[in-house]
Amino acid sequence: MSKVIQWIDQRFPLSSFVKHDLVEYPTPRNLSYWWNFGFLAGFVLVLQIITGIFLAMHYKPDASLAFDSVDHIMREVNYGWLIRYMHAVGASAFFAVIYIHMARTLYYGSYRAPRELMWWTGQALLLALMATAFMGYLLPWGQMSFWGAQVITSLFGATPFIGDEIVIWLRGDFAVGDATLTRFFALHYLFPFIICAIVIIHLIALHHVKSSNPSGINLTAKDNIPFHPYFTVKDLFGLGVFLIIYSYFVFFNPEFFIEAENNQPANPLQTPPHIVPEWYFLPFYAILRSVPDLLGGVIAMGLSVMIFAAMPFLDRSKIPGGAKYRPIYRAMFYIFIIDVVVLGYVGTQPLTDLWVIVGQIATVIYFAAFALLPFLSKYEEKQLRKKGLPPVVEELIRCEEQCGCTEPK
Amino acid sequence: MTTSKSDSKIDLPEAPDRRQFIEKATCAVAGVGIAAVAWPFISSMNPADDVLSQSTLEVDLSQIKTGEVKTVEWQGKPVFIFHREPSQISAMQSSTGSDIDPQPDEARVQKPEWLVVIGLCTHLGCVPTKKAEGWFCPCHGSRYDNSGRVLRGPAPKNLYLLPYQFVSTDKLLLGKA
Amino acid sequence: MIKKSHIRLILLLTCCFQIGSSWAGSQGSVLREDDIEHEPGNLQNGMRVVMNSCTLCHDLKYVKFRDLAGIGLSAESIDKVRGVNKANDPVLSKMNAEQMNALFGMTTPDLSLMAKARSDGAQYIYSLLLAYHERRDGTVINKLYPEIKMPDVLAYSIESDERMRLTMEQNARDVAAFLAWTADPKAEERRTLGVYVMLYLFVLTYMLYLVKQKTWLRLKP
Repeated sequence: MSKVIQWIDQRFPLSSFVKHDLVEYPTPRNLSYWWNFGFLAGFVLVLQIITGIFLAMHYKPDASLAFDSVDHIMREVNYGWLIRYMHAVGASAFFAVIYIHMARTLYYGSYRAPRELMWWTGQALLLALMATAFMGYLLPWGQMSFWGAQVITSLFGATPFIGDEIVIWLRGDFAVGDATLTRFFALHYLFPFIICAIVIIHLIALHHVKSSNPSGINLTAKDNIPFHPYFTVKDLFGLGVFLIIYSYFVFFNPEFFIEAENNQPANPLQTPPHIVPEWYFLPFYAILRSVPDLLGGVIAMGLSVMIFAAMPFLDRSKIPGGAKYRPIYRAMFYIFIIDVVVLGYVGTQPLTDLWVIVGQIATVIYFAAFALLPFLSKYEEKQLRKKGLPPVVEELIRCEEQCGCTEPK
Repeated sequence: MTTSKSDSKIDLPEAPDRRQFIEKATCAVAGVGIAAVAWPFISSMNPADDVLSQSTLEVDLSQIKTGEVKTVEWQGKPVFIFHREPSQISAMQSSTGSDIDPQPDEARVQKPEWLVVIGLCTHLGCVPTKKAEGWFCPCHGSRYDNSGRVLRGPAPKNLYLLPYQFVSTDKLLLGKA
Repeated sequence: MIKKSHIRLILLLTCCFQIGSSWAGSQGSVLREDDIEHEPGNLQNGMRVVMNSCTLCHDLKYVKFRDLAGIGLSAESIDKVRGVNKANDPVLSKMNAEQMNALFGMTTPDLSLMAKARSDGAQYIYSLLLAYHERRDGTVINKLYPEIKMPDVLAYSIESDERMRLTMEQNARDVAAFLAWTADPKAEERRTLGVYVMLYLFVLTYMLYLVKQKTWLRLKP
């Protein structure tokens, strides 16, 4: 075996890559379990691709056949029910993992210099994932699939001047139909591989700047340990815990994430009483509905997803890394999380007076968190400096100002 | 498990338990799990239940006149159902085909007047055409007699048999012996 | 300081709100709460009622006659049930689309997935069949779903004999159980396999935990 590897090594940097980037790769020794979620996201990506490809062996992307083909998979294909439920639960698992991963990044300030490109490739990954999930949801061609797609594609009609043409171009027809379904299938199959490519860029950036860590400041070399075996075993243990939660849903409550309405075939002539997107879109859906004007709502929704990208610029505090030494930032983080949960709940409710008001207040808080950050972060820094910073923090700020960047040694 | 050089600055020496039992056991258990997970995916590529339920086919024989061949589709393949005349039957019973794949006629039929064979040339799978003396494959010129036995190559074997049974005198069930 | 466990709780509560909001549409006290049994006897009785009554107007197009082996029917029993239909044929209604439209003004919904297409599942179907009520003016209305076009097929609303009513209630439960099976025939296989998978994962995760602890003990403090 080692002879084979030697032969390869003369022609391809296999062993040196494995040694440098997987085994000896220096990782801060104090990473907590919040750092497991990047690996989990990669795992769920592979899981979705594999289950998706095996589903595609039996699924028919035609409006007259799609719903029946999903039922065929559930009843007739060997273990078809298992692969289908793995894929459906996997989509929700993907968003759960990604949202926790993002929350970790926000809390610990991992988006700050020199990790801005990681944050922005992450932003691109979030958008690609949302598009993939949206298109995938149409494929079963149930009532909720159809009407969710109908509503969301109509939003593009808010585009000034060419709105109507854009909607028809997107759908390939005057309403969501067979043309829409076929192209969504083609793109749903394609996008995960685009996601893989962006993940590779995301990881190359990571290996250049190395992981941030819970202390919020860059550690010295002696505080790093090799990735293998320490973090390989830690990631695998975290994977075990994840698989337990995931398998509970797949085997004992798989329809938890499937709207009952979606077990009815799409009927273009009858709208369901409540159109609800999947849970992971609910906060953005609530923001969309909070603005009475169509174009305003679409802009607000788009902004609510994109605004994360601005974080490296909005956070103007020189106090390093995240919430640990910053009580105001910490409070804003928790308020933001609670606000997102409230928005999510608002997204499930019909638009009665109460929920409209709650949604609008929650939307204002959402954007206020970002809008106030530049001012509050500067104010907080002033207050903290007056009280006196811990010596470690002083040292790092001094080092940053001297070298101009926070390249870890 | 290998330890890299940088370990020595931060690690204690490797555990005296050289056997590394828990690591090996965990690998083994994980390996079993991975194999178990692979199985449903591999199995899903096998024919689905509704395809398997189509694996038998009923054929009504009453409309097939003597001397006629009816071709039906079974499991995606053509099947020749040949209602043989008495002269054809005795001619076939008096020989064992050719040297390529000798076989007595009796071994190829349940009732002598009904020949049931897969209608694909055993060379490369083309569908042979019926002639007076048997079948002729237009692709490479193989010839078969009225018992489906190969007389001239390049086909290496007689036309393949399939399991079937007579559910009544004029009804065949293909696919189940 | 809010801990990991608190954040997990918040996420869990979010999921609960999701379920809660779909229950918000249910009909409160008209939804019956008695347990529906899913034994083979119930499924087979339910199947008989469905084949004899419901399929007059309703399709179950995703159920093939041969599938009934899944509720314990022998090949001979299936032959009796399917009559002139072949074993691979779907269970279709005796009416065609024109007749349905003439009688009800719409095509009747297919029942194969009905237990999954309603958020309260089998409990809803059971309650619906018995929710018919005769008003003082003689008209019959369904209290669970007033706009329903289906008539009171069990004639429950006008039945006063207590024993007959109990039989109808049992039949309604069995129909609901059978339809729960048609909507999810793999449920039992899924849960059984799930038990093995969960046991395996608990064992494997514990072993991975031991490996993690042992590995990290090698670090100098």
